[in-house]
Amino acid sequence: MNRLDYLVLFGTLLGIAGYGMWQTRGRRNLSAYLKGAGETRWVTVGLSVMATQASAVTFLSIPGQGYQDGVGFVQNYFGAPLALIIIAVFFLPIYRRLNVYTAYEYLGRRFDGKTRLLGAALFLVQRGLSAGITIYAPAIVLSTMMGWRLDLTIVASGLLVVIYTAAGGSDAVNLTQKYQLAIIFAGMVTAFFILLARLPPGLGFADALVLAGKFHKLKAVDFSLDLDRRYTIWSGVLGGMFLALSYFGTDQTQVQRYLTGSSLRESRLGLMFNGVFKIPMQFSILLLGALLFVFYQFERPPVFFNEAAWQRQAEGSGGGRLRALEAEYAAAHASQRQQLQAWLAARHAGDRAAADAACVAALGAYERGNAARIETQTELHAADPHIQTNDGDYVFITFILDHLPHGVIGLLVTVFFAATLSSKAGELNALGATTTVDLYRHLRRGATDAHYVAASRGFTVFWGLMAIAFALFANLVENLIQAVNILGSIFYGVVLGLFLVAFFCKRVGGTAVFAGALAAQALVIALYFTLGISFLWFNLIGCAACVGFSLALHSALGARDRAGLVPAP
Amino acid sequence: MKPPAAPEFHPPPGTGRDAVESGEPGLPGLRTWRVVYGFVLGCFVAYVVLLAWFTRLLSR
Repeated sequence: MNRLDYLVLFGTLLGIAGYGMWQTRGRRNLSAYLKGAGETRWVTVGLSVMATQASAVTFLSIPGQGYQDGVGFVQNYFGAPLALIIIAVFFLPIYRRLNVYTAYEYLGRRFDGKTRLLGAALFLVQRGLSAGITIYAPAIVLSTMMGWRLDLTIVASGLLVVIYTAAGGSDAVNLTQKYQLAIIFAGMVTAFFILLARLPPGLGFADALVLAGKFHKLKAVDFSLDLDRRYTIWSGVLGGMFLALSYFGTDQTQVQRYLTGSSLRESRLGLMFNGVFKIPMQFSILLLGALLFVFYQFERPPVFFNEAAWQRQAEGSGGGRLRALEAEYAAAHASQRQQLQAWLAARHAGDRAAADAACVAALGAYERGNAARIETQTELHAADPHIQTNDGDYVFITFILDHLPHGVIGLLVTVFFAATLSSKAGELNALGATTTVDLYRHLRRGATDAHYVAASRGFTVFWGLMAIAFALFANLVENLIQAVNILGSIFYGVVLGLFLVAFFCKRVGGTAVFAGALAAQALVIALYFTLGISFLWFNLIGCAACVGFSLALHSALGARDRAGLVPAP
Repeated sequence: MKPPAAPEFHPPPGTGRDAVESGEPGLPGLRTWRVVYGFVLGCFVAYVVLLAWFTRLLSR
């Protein structure tokens, strides 16, 4: 990165944060601080919901996922539109009618204090842990690639978001997210078109898609019934719907975003905006990864995308073997490129037989190269167990640094930081609100609004510092986006079960649902460590177990399980 | 014996604003909430069909 890149990076990030703080200065009222001044329109709500979910992990890791495994990951989002409709019809009117600050406040009114506390605690544990990952994930990749100090990267990005979120509250989060998302879209679209322009001469967009398909990168929908497959349409629609119902419907990080809408209409339309655009957005990012794969069939990529880690080991005692593998990989890639050029020429000449023969030869060379790549990963991991063999998170940033012009590099690095800040801000805002409303307000009743606003600011800072501390001591877990999703899936199902019992099982009371939720959570944790099924299924299992146990316990307890207030339909 | 039915919840004073605010979506061509939900569902079905077609066309 040169001066122009740093100017783009710091100018954009500090400018947006400063503008957000300036526009929302002086919030003294708890409602305005936590839910905004009541002027937020649906486009802003929709963008805020989108920005909160789309962290830097989305933009760093998903292109890598598209590069390595193809676009099948898009199926994970198939459940989202269905879930968002259910939330808009059933959940949202109740939250707004009760005028709650947090989703867990509703549990307290419907059941009792202990169930509210359980819901809030599950949220705080799960979100508090993943909050560290959302800072750590981009920081580890960017610091490695840029040669920055990891701790300084974590602390600087963490502190910036803590400052403007604590100062301006919910409105500052909404406002900054809108501009951050604009930068993110601008950066990703720019990268997409530059990538298309950098494809070799004669290789058009249609050729690139055909080529990606030949290498099995465009299998977007898999109808297989095999439970062990990570992404299928069934796990995506069913598991994904339960994950999205939990995340958008019961996770305060999202609930707080759409409760800032100035009316039920604005909140609902904001959710529907995401129902329409979520799948195309995720698919576009995955397709970018698949096209990166095509690009790197003609431009030799590093044998291991985390080049800093490779370089360190190559200079060590086992470096000879790594350099031999690199040479093997380079030879296979050169042969593959030659075959692909022959394939392209034959395709354009309409010689199908020659095209097929060249393609088979290219796939053979690809397999040889891939074998060298896998062996490299094994060697690196054996030399240093801290090196993660999955280098997918380094694919997109490698392309950016090696092939984009200065200025655009700065823009894309800004994209990653803007995404970190926008999702982190939503999380901190929600963590601060839940701690204040669901915990602190019960310990310290009857204080002034100004006191609770100050407390909420304090808790926002506390969770921000916790996230920074967690990020400083965290270690990379397989693929970053999956780490966040797996963690969510372990807890989300049970939380969703709590809410489904609250909404639809009106005779079940707090005692049954509380014990049922604890038993279901224990079951999910036990199954996670014993079963090898796709993590998305844990959303369904946790939810079903919570509802089932609650109903069974309610039957067993009878009149002793007294229901609380039930909202009118 | 069945447990007693739970009492109905009455929203706290000053919070019944949704009766006023829940009006129609007011989007051109999407005049009722049913139509809005139908539109989102239609988009979802169209995405799945298009992606399945995309897979069939390019993943052979």
